[in-house]
This record gives sequence, C-alpha cells and structure tokens, in this order.
Amino acid sequence: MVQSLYFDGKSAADRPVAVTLGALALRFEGETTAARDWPYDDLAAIETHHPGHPFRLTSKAEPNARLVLRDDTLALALINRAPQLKGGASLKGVAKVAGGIAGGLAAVALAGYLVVQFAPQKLAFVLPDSWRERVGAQVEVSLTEGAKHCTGNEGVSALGAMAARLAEGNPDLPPLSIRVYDVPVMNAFAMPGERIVITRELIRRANRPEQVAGVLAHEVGHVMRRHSEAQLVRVTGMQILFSIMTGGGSDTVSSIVGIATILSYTREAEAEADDVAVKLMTDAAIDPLGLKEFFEILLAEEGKASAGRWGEITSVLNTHPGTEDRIKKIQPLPDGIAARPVMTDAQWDALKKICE
Amino acid sequence: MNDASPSQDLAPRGETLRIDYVPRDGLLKLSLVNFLLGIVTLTVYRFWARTNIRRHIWACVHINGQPLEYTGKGIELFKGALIVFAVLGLPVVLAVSAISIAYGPEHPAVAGIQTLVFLIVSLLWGAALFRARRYQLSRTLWRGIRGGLEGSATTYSLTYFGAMLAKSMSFGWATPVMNLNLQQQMTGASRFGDMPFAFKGRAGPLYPAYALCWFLTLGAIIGIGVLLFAGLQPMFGEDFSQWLAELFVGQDTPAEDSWVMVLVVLGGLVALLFVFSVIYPVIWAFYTARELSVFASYTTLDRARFRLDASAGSIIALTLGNLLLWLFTLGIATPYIQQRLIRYICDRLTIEGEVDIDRILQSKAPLGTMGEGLADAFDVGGI
Repeated sequence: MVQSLYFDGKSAADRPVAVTLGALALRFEGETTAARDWPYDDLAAIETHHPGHPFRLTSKAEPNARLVLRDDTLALALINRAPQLKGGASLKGVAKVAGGIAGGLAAVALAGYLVVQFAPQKLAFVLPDSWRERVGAQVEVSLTEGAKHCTGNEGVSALGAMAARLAEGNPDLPPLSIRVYDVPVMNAFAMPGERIVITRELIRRANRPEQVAGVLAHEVGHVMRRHSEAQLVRVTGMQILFSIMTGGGSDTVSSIVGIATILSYTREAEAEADDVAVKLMTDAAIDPLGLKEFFEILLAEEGKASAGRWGEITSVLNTHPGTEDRIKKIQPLPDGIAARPVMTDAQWDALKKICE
Repeated sequence: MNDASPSQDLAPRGETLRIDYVPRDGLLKLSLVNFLLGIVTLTVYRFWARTNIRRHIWACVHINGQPLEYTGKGIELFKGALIVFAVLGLPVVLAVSAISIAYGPEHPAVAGIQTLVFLIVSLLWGAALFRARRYQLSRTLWRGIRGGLEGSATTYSLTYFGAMLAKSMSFGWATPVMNLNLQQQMTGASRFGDMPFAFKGRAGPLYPAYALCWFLTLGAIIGIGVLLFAGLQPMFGEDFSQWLAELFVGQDTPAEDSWVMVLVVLGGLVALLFVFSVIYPVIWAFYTARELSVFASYTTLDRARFRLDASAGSIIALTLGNLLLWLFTLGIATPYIQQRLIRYICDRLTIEGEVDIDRILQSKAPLGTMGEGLADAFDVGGI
C-alpha cells in the first residue's frame, strides 16, 4: 500500500500514515500519529480528484489538518463511500449562482429605471428655485465662455416684446431670462432656471420674426417641461449608479453608456418641445410655420462641417435624426385663427442689430 | 523551545527548500468563465474571478513536492470592497453630486472635496497594500500551516506616504533607500506559521543600476524633445516658433494651415508618447531586475537565504509579453498573465541553506473575515 501523508494543522511536520476505509469512517495511523477516525460525512476535498495526482482531504473537526492520499485506487474507493468528495459543478450550485446573478441584474434594472426614467422628470419640479438659478447661471457662463453678451437696448426690448407676444393666450408662461450672444454658429439653448440663450447667427439667418419666435417657443417648451433640470438629475443619478456598480472606477464605460442614454432622452425631449412650441404659437396666434422654416434652414445647414468649440455643439444638434420628421409634424394655424404679427418691422430691425 | 526536558535533539535539523511551478489544466476554462460571468454580472464577478485564479495558481506552486493552497473566498473580497465603498466612496459621490446640483459643478467645494479625497487616498494607499498582503498570506496554506503578516498597517501607510514624498522631492534619487525601507517592513512582518522572515541589507548596491536608468531616462526625454523639434522646424520654418507661441496664448480662429500643424504635432506627440511608453519600461527593467535580486538576497527564513536570478532581458520579455497577451485577448488572458508573473519568480528562485520545517507551528494570528477592501477600491490588488 502506498503511504499517505498527514499534516495535523498544528505543526508543519509531515507524518506518514496508513489509511484504511471503515464502515462509517476513514481511519489512519502512523509512527508519530495515534489512530484516528474521520467520519465520511465530515470529509471535504480540497480540490477535485485527478488520477495520477495526490488527493487532498480535510475534515470538519480539524479544518486546518490535511490528509494527502497518493493511491488512486484508494481515492476512488473513498469517493465511492463519500460522494460529496466528487466535487465539480452541481445543478444546485449552478442554479444558486444563476439566481444570484438574475436577482442582481433585476435590482440594477430597477435602479436604472428609477434613475433614468422615473425620478428625473419628477425631481426636476421639486428642485428649489435657488438651486436651479445657481446651476443655470453657471451653465450659461461655461456655455457662452468668451462670447459677447449682446445688449443693444432696442434689440433687448424687441426680444422682450417677442416673449410678451408669446405669452398672449398663454398665461402659464413662466418669467424668462432670454439672452443673445455673439456666436458664429446657429443655435439656441434652454438651461435650468428659465434661462434661454440664442446665438446671433440664428437671428442673422432668420428671414422673418416668426422663425425666431418658433425657436423661442421651442426653447420655452424645454423650460416649461424642465428638460434641462431633468437631464441634470439624470446625469447625476447615473454617475452615482455607475460608481456603485463599479466601486468608483471605470469612467470610460460609464461615459459611453451615459452619452448614449442622454442622447436618446434628448431626442425625446426635442419632440416634446416641438409639440409645446406649436401649441404655444397656436394659442398666441403666431404662425407655427416659422418654426418649420427654421428647421428647413437647419436642414440645409446639415452636412456642412464647421470647426471649433461651437462646431461640437452643432454636431450634437446634427445627431438628432429626422429633422424631416420634425418638419412634417408642424401644422399651420387651424382655420378660424388668423395669424397676428410677432413684432413691428422696426422691432425686427432692432433685434437684427442687437449685437452692434 | 521551552521544553524543560533535556534533549539530544537540539542540534539544528532541517531541509533545503525547492520551489517548482507545476502547471495544470483548467486555466483556459477559468479565463473564459471569468470573462463571461464578468460581462453578465456587469463586473461584480471580479472578486470571485480573482479568487478562482489564485486558487488555481497557488495549487501549481509546489514547495518540496507539496502544493500551496489558497483558502480565500470571493465573498470576503466582495464584503471588503463593499464596506470601503460605503465608508469612503459613496459619501464622496453623494456629496459631490449634491453640491453640483445645489450650487453648480464649478463650486469651489467640489474641488475641495476632490483634493481631500486625493489626500486621504494617498495616506491610505500603503495601508491598502499592507492589508492586501496580510489577507493573501493568511489565506495561503502550505502543509496545513498558514502565512501571516504582523505589525501595523498604519505605520506602513505613513512610511509609504513619506516615501512617496521623499521620492518626488529628490527627483527619484531616494527611491532605492525608500523601497528598501518598505520592503524591510513588509518582509520583516511576514511569517510562515510562527516562523518569521528576516530582511537585512543596505541600499548601496542598488545605486549603480538606479543611476544608469535615471540618466538613460533623462537622455531619452531630451532626445525625444530634440527629435520632435528638429523634425517639425524644417517643415514649417520660421512660422513654427511663432505658431507655438500663438497656440499657447490661444487664438480664436486659427488659420487653415495651422490646423495641419496641429494635426502633425498631435500625431507626432502620440507617436512619441507610444515610443516612450515602450522605452521607459525597457530602461527601468535594469533597475527592477537588480532590485528583485538584491531584495531576495537580503531575505532569510530560519537558516535559509533566498536567491533570485532576475535579469533585465527576462523582465522585458515578461512585461512586453504580458502587455501583448493582454492587448490581443482584450484581457481574457488575465489568468495567464498572472501565471506568467508567478512562474517567473518560481523558475528563478532558489533557496540556499536549511529550514527546520518540523519545528514550525501554526500561526496564532486571528483570521480577519474581510478581504482586500481598500486594495480593491484603489485597484492595487495585484494578483
């Protein structure tokens, strides 16, 4: 019989022992080891048995002790008596792991739904005004960094007149801060705290006041639905969620998923703002086709590459697919409502010169 | 040792130790399972993956014919990381988020918190390394006896922080002394059962290799700088220096040809950065090899002294091989990379002199129940 080795877990000495298989227990003894029994039920394999390799065992009563069997026949006979030593993947073990993973994923999906879909739009209307105001002011500063704020007196009052005109028939319209910046790219932005920024290029490219009014109504749509506040909550929530998932690391993955999520919500928000814009303009008896015409100008612009910091912003605009679809959705004023002008010709001239 | 009865057995007995790496099947399966479960669990499986790899690799390391055994559990690592995240990570994330929403992302408190976190992490980094080593040793069994690490993680952490400061303030020249100091603390605190490791020696022998690598690095930086300038100067002539000045002063609408310059310069910088990221480890392999050999030769266990035949060439081959392995398998081969690291040591380590193995008793240090929380949080877990 090949001798086995016993390590008692108290000292590093190796003790040669002879092993016999009893009815209920494995028994071993040697020169320096008094006979002892390890019941079959208490045995555990350190690793699964590979023929030709030593088979290492331990017992519940002596968790640090090790018995090393070097005889395959003996090892197989033992596994026959103590089937738990066979090891390998059990159906129960696999089911447990799969269940754990499924449960974890369900929890993540729920948290993701709360953070991305459910909470932002609700929380956006709960954020204190002072918070929205402070964040909005900072966003405006960083967005327009380096660009001139246009403060031509008559232009500013023309802009005020346009906002007042939009409020006709829309008493719910919140007080707005509308500013024009001298930026060579056609765009407009809505920010937290009822802030709207329009670029000079947009005004320059507009052919009639209704087009600017359409863009303004669209941005007012964002403001009234608090889209930028919701986006702020969404981005923050996603950052928290990702840092919990990854234990604080992995910025690349989180920013890729984050940008994808944000873009998909941006598209949804754009469509919503379009709907609000058309409704506002209809109620104020302003020709909604102004917004449509602006989109057509935008469409002609798409594909033209522009460079620099402001180019990046236009390219985000360009990633909205379906400008054509948005154009199709805009209907003229219903029969019976006659469009009234947005502003006088003199005011329109003043608005065009707001940056001079 | 306090045995009162007189014995003739007092003459030193012992055996020489021999380390072999005996590879086993199953690493490929382990790599694939770890990779797939990592994806399915959105990376949370990493704790169990690391545990499985260690269990496999440890069992391949045979000392005098008996394998090492890794007894750590994935749940221990998971719990440790969870607690560190709850205590350190989550409060920071929540505070930064709250301030960003309430006061805007550019409020000075955000930068303040980030600085504070950087400081705390720097102070705790050494403790993280120390505790990770303690966890690994306490989960490593040979002949039924486990390893251990005595001493204080706080002391080690402060030493580590001081060493970082000293290294940077001396332009690196304190590195050999500081590394020796840290190694002395770590090895001196290591135990196998109740038998301590000892570490004793001077930093002097490390300095020739350090000086060589330091000056080679300086030369490489200067050389690359000269190459960059010499390569670009004739391309753009006189305009180049003027354009550089304008680039740093900042121009709103750069002329079209200066965009070409930006692209060329950026491309050149990326290429040089890549060249440097290969050159740098190649240069420093000379020092790494020297440090490994010297530190091994300063290490003793009972009456045995360690010897590690590390060489710059073999370290370069190891590092670059692992880099390529990682890149071409997208990280799936991580277990093989770790096996190569352990194998490198096993193949080149010899132990001269004898260890009285039979005299070694089980460690009395308590087994912590938590894994390498800090180390995982800071991503310094190593293998």
